[in-house]
Amino acid sequence: MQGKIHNRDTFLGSLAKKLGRELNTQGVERPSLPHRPHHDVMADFNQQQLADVFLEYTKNNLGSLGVSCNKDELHETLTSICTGFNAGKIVVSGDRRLAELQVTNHLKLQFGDVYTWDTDQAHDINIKQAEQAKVGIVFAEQALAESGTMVLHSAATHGRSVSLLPETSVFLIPQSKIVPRMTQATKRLHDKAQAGERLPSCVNFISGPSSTADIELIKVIGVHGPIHAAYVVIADM
Amino acid sequence: MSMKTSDVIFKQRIKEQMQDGFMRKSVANAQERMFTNRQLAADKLGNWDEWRENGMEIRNHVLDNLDYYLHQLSENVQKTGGHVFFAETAQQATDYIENIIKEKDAKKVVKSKSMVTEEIGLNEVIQRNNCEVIETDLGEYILQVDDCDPPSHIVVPALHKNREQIRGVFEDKIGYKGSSDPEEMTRFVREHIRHDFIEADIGITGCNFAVAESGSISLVTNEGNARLATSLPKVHIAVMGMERIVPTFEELDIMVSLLCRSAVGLPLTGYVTAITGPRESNDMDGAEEFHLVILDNGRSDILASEFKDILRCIRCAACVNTCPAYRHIGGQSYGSIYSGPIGAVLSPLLGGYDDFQDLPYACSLCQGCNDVCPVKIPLSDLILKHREKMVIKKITPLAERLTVSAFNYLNASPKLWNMSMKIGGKVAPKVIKDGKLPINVGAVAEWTEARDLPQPDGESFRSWFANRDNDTTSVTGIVKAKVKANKSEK
Repeated sequence: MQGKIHNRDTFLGSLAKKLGRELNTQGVERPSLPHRPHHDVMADFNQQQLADVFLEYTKNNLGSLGVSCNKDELHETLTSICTGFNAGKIVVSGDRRLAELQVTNHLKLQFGDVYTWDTDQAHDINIKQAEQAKVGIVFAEQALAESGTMVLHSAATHGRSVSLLPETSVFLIPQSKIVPRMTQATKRLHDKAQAGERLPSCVNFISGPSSTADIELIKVIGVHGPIHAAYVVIADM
Repeated sequence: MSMKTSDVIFKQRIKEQMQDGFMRKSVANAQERMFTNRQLAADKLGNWDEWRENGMEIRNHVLDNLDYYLHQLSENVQKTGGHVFFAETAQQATDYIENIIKEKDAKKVVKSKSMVTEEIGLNEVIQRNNCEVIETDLGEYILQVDDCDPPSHIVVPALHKNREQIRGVFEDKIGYKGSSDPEEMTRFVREHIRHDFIEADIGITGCNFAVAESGSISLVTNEGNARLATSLPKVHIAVMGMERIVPTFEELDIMVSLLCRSAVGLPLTGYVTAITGPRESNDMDGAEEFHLVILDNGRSDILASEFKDILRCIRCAACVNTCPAYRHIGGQSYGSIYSGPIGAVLSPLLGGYDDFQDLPYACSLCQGCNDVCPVKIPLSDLILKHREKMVIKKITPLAERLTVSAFNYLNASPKLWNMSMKIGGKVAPKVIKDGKLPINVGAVAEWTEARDLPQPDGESFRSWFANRDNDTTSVTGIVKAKVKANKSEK
């Protein structure tokens, strides 16, 4: 369904007049930028080096837990992370990559109360399950080494609430998907948009748990979003 | 709250604010920290000026082609199923939003921090419809709970309050019983308003940058409240100043990188969220309805004026964090939601000289703000331009205009000037006693409030300068006399 546009002609007409010309809605080319410093950041780093920078930043600057493990160590790693955060209920994104890694099945055996985001259930049920969960587990599209950031794209099976409502967020990222910085992640979105694809309704760049410094500029970790975050880099993926 | 936050006259406001010892200490401390963090982040990149030049280029290109990009943005929002309302005035924007509230019979709205919704006085409009509105950013929440105390900083709105004051406010207004520990108070607020996000009918946010190529809006935040406000309520309304737009995600990269480093000294804030339209048909969360309100409210007049450069602003507050005037008088002295150098330029443009004519004078023209601005806005030049404009429009006080006219008249004639300086030199020692004048008026009165006038010696500077060689007590006179004596000996 198309949305509605109100009052555009009058608004843009008067804007063009203020710009001292006729209304122009076509043919504008973006200028090429005078400098390209954003392309130089970690340009010659290999995946291992990017993963090292990423985990280092996460640990030192974000107050998050960052670990690296192989695929065959993943279950054990998740068990210890969830135990460490005293997980009661766990909500897992309905992402097929998590299913392929048998994450839900494993956690069900270990912890029992595990809910997988389910497109067959009503909106309210999914929200309620995420709201009650202590830990939410998601699979990230990309990670940014420079800022310790996880990039999440929303989809029917990847509810936004999984990484938002539980107290602890656990992010899984294949080492091969770590990129230097936002430049590479925004390029991907730019390419999609240029190809005429609709972007996911919500793309999140998440760097650590939620935080604030609104009281006397003292940093407090954990405000409205998650209070804890754990990053798991899957080295052989 | 609209843009204007006080009816008290400017000088009185400053006097009151400067009595607040905590506020002054807190502002000084905050400036130190934020300035240092920004500097460290900029230095770490090593080529900060190249980033700034890129930022300036992007912003200028967008401003020159704003009609094109707004058209493209609206087309793309429409394609995703979102609605776009172009509001020429604040009233048009609030009317549109009020209609949505009525249509949905909304009882509760959650808002994330947005300067532009403050500018249009949106909260009052929401409330007059029997609809509760909750400011969910912690700083904004503190101010709202404290009977809508005005903000004092565009990034850290409750900067002027200390933890004890905040504890007191929470105890009185929301039944808080805990200590003044910031973490304990923050967690209390988390628990206290979590249900509001779930119950809210509408979530309202601002927009840091819209992305024309995809119809997306981006939100740069830390607390997670904007994510909640855009994920849980059925309706999401985003309000943006019409200039807050980038062509594509590639430019968003540059602008967000500049914003986060300049605002908080980090490569990225906790959350950078790009929302594209309403949720997709099979999504389980996210708003079902998305409205984007694009606001002019005086911006197109600025675009057509000599103040156009100010529209490059990305609201990072780097200028605020470096300003010595802001450091002394604090944010509330400005009487506007926009304080510091950006406030001194923007408030008179958006709100008019009647209410904000004093703000361009809250500046020593040190130009520190120009140097830190990530998009190279010549803020101090624009402040000076305001002063020039006010002189031309005769908005400045009558006494000031008469004094300047008299100065110009005397200064235009060397004879008159010399004579008046001589007379002044003779009269001054007779009237200045112990560094004070008998009648203290205007600028002299303000100056002598904290300082003494120098004790004059009965001579004008020019006559002293002309006779200095013959003065055997002056250094120049002594040196010259010696040189003369040596020459004659040889």
